[in-house]
Amino acid sequence: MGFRTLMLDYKRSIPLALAFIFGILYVFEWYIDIRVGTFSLSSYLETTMLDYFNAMGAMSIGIGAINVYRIHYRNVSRKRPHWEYSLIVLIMIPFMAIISTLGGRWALDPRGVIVPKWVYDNTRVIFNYFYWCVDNVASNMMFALLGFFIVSAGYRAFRARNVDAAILLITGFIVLMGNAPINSALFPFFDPIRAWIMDYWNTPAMRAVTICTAIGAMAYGVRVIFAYERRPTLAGGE
Amino acid sequence: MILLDLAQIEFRVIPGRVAQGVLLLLFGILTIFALEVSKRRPEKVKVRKIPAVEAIDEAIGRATEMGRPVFFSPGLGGIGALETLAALSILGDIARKTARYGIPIIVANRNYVVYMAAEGIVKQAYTMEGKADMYQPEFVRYIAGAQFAYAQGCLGIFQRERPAANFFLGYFYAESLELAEAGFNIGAIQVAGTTSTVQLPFFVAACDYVLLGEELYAAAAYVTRDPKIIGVLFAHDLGKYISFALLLIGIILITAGNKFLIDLLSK
Repeated sequence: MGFRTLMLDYKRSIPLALAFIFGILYVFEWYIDIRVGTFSLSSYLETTMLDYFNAMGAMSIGIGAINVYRIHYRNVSRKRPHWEYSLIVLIMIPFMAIISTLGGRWALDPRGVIVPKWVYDNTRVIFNYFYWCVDNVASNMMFALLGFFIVSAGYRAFRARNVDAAILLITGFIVLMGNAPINSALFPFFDPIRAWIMDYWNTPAMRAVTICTAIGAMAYGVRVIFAYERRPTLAGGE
Repeated sequence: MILLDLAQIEFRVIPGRVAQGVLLLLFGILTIFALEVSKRRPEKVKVRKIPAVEAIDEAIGRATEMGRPVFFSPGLGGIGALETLAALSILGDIARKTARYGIPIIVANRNYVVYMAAEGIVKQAYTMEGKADMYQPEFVRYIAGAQFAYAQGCLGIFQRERPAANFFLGYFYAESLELAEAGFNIGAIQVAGTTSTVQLPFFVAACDYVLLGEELYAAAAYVTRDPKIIGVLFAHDLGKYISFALLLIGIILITAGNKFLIDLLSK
């Protein structure tokens, strides 16, 4: 590809060039520390460049919020099924934004220098209620639900429909019996078998997946850095 | 004006990373070689089939027959995670197919930077298929930044919009099983792929097809059906053989009480 073509196709060539330069730079700095006096390139890339990235990310959160608002506004305005929940979202987003700015963990003026102190004190109570008694409870509920999902998925996975599934069922049963404290107290002979399965079968299998994943990641990195990956992800289309 | 005296620049190789650097360099050369060979002689490229990738077409076809949407989750990883980039590569191909068949796609995002990238990819996919007018802002959604709020949002989408095909590709944490089980309960055909060894068993238990670890990266190349990119799978396989050979040599040497390989790789 000539220079003229590259310039004309700048929407693709600029991201590719940036991916190449920064990809090589970040790989290089992991192995070789470049210093000029007290300036270290490695530390600069690890701290300052990541700060730039975080700042760019922080700006894009506004775009995420706009998307949430746009979708829920459409739901309400077109009276789509369950639009009432969308209305609650539309009300609660600005409400929580204001409350957390005034009385949240990172409130703007907790000492009452500009905004009166009573504003902080009162909004803090409201913030704590919604954070600890609504958001936190809902998150914990979702985490607790995981236990029930494990049971239903385990039930399907452990049905002995063929030889493989039967081996899985027996192995799962032994590991389950060995892991549960009451079972290891009542049936101590399960524990060494469980340890043998976990140490000599499970761990090597996991390591094999991890090693292969690292190889795949390296190959993908090379594809991205050297512009073999030209799909919309990075390069603005085919 | 000379701003910097070149003699002042110091290069210092970081101890303990020399061997990994050499291995990375060798593997990089190997990958480029494989890609160049497949680019110049695509007829020589023969690759193993990945069942989960073959299932992508089947899942989208089923969603088309049922007239229901396709759901895609790029996981919880940020844009800096390679898993997320690989997932977004696959998203581009899935979105082109949904555009071609005229069915809606729902991309649920947890990370706002990933959301922006996904929106661009899906929009472009619809444009490339000549269906730009079909694209709706609801296709790509920012759900929430918190892990379980995101999971709740996705579960709500499953119940309300009933997607017929679910794709969970990227890096996942504890929400993986919630998504996969809820997807199973609505009868969707599910293809998952992650590099998280902790979450893989959950996906294997609850999904129809799973891309295990490295297969996620392989799939990002495979879905293109482009021999110029698919050649990279040769480098994947050769890298695995080299790792296996190193492991075998290491086992023999350490059993014989020789620490040569360990010392060499620790340099």
